Amino acid sequence: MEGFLLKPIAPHLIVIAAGCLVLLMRAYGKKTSAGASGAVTLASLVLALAASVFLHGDAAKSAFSGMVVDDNFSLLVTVLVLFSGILCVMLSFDYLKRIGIAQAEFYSLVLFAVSGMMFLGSASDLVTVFLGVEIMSISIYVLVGFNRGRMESTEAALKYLILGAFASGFLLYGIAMIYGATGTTNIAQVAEFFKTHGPSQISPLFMVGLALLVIGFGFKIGAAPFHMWVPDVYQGAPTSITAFMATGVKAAGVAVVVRVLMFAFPESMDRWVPLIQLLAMVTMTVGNIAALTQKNLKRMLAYSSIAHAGYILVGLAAVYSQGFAEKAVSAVFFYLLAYTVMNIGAFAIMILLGRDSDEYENIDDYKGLAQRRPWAAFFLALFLLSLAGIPPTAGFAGKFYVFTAAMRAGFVALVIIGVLNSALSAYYYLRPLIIMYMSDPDADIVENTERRPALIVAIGVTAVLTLELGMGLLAYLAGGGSYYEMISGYLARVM
Amino acid sequence: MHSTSLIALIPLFPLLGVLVNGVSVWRRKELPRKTVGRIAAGSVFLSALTATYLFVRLAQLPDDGKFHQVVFSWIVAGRDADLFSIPFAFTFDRLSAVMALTVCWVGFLIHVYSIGYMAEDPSVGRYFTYLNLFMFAMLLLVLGSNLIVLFIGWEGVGLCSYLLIGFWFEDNEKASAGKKAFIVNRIGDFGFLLGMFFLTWGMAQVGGMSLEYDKLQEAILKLKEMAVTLPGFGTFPLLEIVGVCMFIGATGKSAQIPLYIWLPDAMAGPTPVSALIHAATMVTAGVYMVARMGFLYSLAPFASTVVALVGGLTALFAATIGIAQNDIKKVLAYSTVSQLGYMFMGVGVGAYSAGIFHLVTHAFFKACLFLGSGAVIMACHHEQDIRRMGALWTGRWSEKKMKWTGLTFILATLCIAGLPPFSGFVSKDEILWMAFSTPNSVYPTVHKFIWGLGVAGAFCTAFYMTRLTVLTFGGEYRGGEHSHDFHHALPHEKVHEVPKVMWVPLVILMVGFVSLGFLGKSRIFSGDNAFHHWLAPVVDAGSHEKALLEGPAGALLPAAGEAAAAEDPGHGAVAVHEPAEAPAKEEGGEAEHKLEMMLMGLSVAVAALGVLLGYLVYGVRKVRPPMPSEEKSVGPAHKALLNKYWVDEIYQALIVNPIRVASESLLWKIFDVKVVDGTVNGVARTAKEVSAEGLKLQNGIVTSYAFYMVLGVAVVLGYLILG
Repeated sequence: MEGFLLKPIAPHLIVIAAGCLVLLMRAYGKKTSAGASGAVTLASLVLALAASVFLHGDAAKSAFSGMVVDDNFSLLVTVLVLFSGILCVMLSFDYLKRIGIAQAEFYSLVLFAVSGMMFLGSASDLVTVFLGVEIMSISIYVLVGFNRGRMESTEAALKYLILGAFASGFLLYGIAMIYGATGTTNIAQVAEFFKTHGPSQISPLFMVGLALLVIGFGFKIGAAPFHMWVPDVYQGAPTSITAFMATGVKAAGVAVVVRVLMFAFPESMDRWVPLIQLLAMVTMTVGNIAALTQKNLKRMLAYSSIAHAGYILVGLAAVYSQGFAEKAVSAVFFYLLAYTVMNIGAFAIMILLGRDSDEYENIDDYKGLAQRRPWAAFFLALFLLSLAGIPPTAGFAGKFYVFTAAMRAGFVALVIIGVLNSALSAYYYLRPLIIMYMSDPDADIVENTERRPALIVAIGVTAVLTLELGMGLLAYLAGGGSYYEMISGYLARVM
Repeated sequence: MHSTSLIALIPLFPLLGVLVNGVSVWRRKELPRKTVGRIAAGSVFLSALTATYLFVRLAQLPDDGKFHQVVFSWIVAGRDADLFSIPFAFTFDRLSAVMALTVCWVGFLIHVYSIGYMAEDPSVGRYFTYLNLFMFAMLLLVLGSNLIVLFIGWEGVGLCSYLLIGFWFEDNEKASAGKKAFIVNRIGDFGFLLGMFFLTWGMAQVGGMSLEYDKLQEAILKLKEMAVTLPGFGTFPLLEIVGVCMFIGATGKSAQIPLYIWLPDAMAGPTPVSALIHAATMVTAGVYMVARMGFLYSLAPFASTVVALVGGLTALFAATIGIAQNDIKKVLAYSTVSQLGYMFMGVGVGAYSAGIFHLVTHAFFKACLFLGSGAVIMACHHEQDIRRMGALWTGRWSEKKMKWTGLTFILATLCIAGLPPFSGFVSKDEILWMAFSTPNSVYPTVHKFIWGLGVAGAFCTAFYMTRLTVLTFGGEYRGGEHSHDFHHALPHEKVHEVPKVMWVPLVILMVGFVSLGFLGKSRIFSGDNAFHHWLAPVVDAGSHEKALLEGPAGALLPAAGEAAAAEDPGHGAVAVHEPAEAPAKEEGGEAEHKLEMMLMGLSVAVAALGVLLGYLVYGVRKVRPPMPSEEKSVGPAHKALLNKYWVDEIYQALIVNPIRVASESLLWKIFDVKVVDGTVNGVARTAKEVSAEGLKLQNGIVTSYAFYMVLGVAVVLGYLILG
């Protein structure tokens, strides 16, 4: 513990400071527009991204008596959540104006949520984990209900708050149990405790603590059977926040599960890997089957997000393979990245097509889209195909890596269930495609023809990345290897 | 530019033609009709020039020289010892040079002719797009350096053939002729694929999975030792299986028994297509394939015997059918089937250069005949029935209706009939002699039988071709009056010679088939067989191993070579394959030479007899083929020929109908609808019902959500603590 104490959390501080600045701008500069707040937000997120990359050293650095750490793992999480935050802000600019909730507080809350996620990534103590979860969650509760004029939004916020508080209780209780069993909340010291005392110390007390932690995190990432809030909340929240929750919140949640399970409890892997396997199977199946009959695209994507959490858990279970743990975690990270770009892309198209306060959510609204807006239809088709996991898209590559990792761990049944689920999901991802391309548009549709450069850029970036992560063409031309190899190269140094 | 990198240009030019014409058709921005034709013909002309240049460069290399170009590495799988790699590569050796030159130049002439023939057709852009695409595929086929590239070309030409047979697809009969060609070819292709699978399997066993010709050739001795056990049939040598399977592919593509039935129907396409695809080039792909794989077939005596026997049977069988056909194009179609039979007879007895030589001469004279028939059809305003023709080339030169068409057609007839000094005589006689003089190691006397089939076929050929020519160009004109058989009539005055753009290619082709004869062996001119010398290093290379392997008494060695090989083992490998020259130069070859001259005399006599008989019957006695109304009363033999031995009907009853009935009643109505659809729909319905029922849990009430969560908590806790 040497050098500048704040260096490991400098990016976090930039984001928090920007959040305060946006609030102050609003309080003192009465004429400051929401757009200016958005611009400051975007700039600060980009700055934080740059800072996290450039201030990052190769060696792990911890600070605040081992409460936070800056290592390759935290860097990946930081980049991922900042990327998700940036895209969310780009989606929000015009969307907020259109539905009449363009306020500076929105951006400041996004910034605080991002800072919470970043703390989750760099937490090296269970207390920091809880702190991060709460900073993130409380901001998100408010953001979900930000569209106060809309019933569903308020209802969603309330549900999320109640159930979230419930889950936080489990989480905190779990941390207390772990402390009781091991005498410490520091992740490295928990691992050390089991290493020195041996597996005999895996007591029922510890197991209860582990179970409660998994429950708490399972709620945050929307894993079944703790997923009931997901459809209602995702559907009620403003669309750009839904996109943010499905990607950023989920990524941070998965990151912290990996961090705690892999770094604190590697000795008890035999116990928790079967549990994760079970959760993965249930989550994939519940998400996909429920999505089949949805007629609302946003709600369908909510269920699909549950299913994707299941695929991610498949990759997490795959850490069981001896000596290839970092490959499995890399597959998880790659999947999160792929899911972030393709999912935000799909939500961006929804926002693009919405008019006034009409959210454009019903699948029937997409009738004949290919005739009316051929490019929008094309990009939505691309994102949906990627979500369905069809080559040569990012979604396919992600599933490929995750299932390969599970095969390496010997989980054949898990992979078979995963692939069957994948096949099932093709049904509901392809249905909007059929409606877009094979039916005629209703005559009385008025197009939203505003110019929305930020949104267009976001769609372009996500579309390019969807293809690039799937094929690696640009990386190949630049002489680089695959992104997956890059990630696993990073992780090999900390795991 | 280095010669090697020019090879890819040969198929590239027609592909560019496809792009230009194809895009204009696709975008519905039709170019001027003349431009379309010029682009198409010009692209083939450039290919022909490139091929000629490479040919000249190749001739300057040593005997076994070749150009090799890897365009890109295409299929790469596995690592190290398991590496399976198929490069997209071209080889320009002496064999592919001959093929490329023939394809390009004959193709070019037919493209030029097409400009005239298709001048009135509304879809000329589509026509030339397909035709250029065909050239591209055909050139891939002959230039590819491995079986896979050959197979792309093989399938590509099949596709173009289908597209062009059904070119006038508004006519249902023409569309179904296209489908028939495609399906019959697929049956053959199945055999071809099986052959490639077996070969790949064999190559994997001996190390180095590859389908490159030179790799196969290197490994051929190892492959010879291998055997395949087919459950229920017994164990066979690998090479025999591969040889027979690949020949099944050839019977489809090259219209041999039993898969020849599509070719006569293929005449539904435009006549230049019949000339290019269904006579000169595509249908000879099977012969090229066997010659290309000569190193394999020469070690597979049984497969070679099958090739020769099927070829001989087809040669005679199709020739007899040709006697009774009345459609000018159908006669030529059966004649093509028959001539392809001769080529297979040649390559089947190990005379690869003789088979390829007949392929080349046939390309010229048959293209000339087909284009001539197209000219006649055009001159007679789309009349194809020879019972309605006649007197197109009678009277003095200035009075002749179709001066040039007639002249070239008659000379081509003499050529295909096998009269000296035309090239048809030279190449066919070479095949017959090789068939006679090459003892078969599997069945000791079968080579004499094959030769007999060939001679009988030659007689029929001479007869039906004379019949065709005399009825078309000689006698009196019969298309002028109405009758209850034919309702439309065309006055004789309206028959006219075709435009120059059409007859000039005929004359050039005529020059080709007249002069080509001097390239091949022509002992009566005491010439040297330049063609054989040119090809020997390529097509006989595989036999080198065979000579080493089996010694002078090996299977299928030409009889004449045995003595030479025994005397001089070191030189045997070369001498073996020059059976005709070697004995002539050495002592003891005198008797051989006499026998050969006798047989040659015999085949000339047979041909002359056929021509004479045909002229006597149809020219002097003016026998007329029965009109449709009289066809019922003809004799049984005539009836069998007229109905093509009812082969189509037999196939229909034995194969097509049972399959259709089984697929309709069993596969479709029971298996597909009940089992497959039932299962699929059932699974889908179940999933949807589960989804709808399950979603009732999602009631929107937050307390019940919390309750489910608690249930989940109970499960997780129980699992971790008790489990």
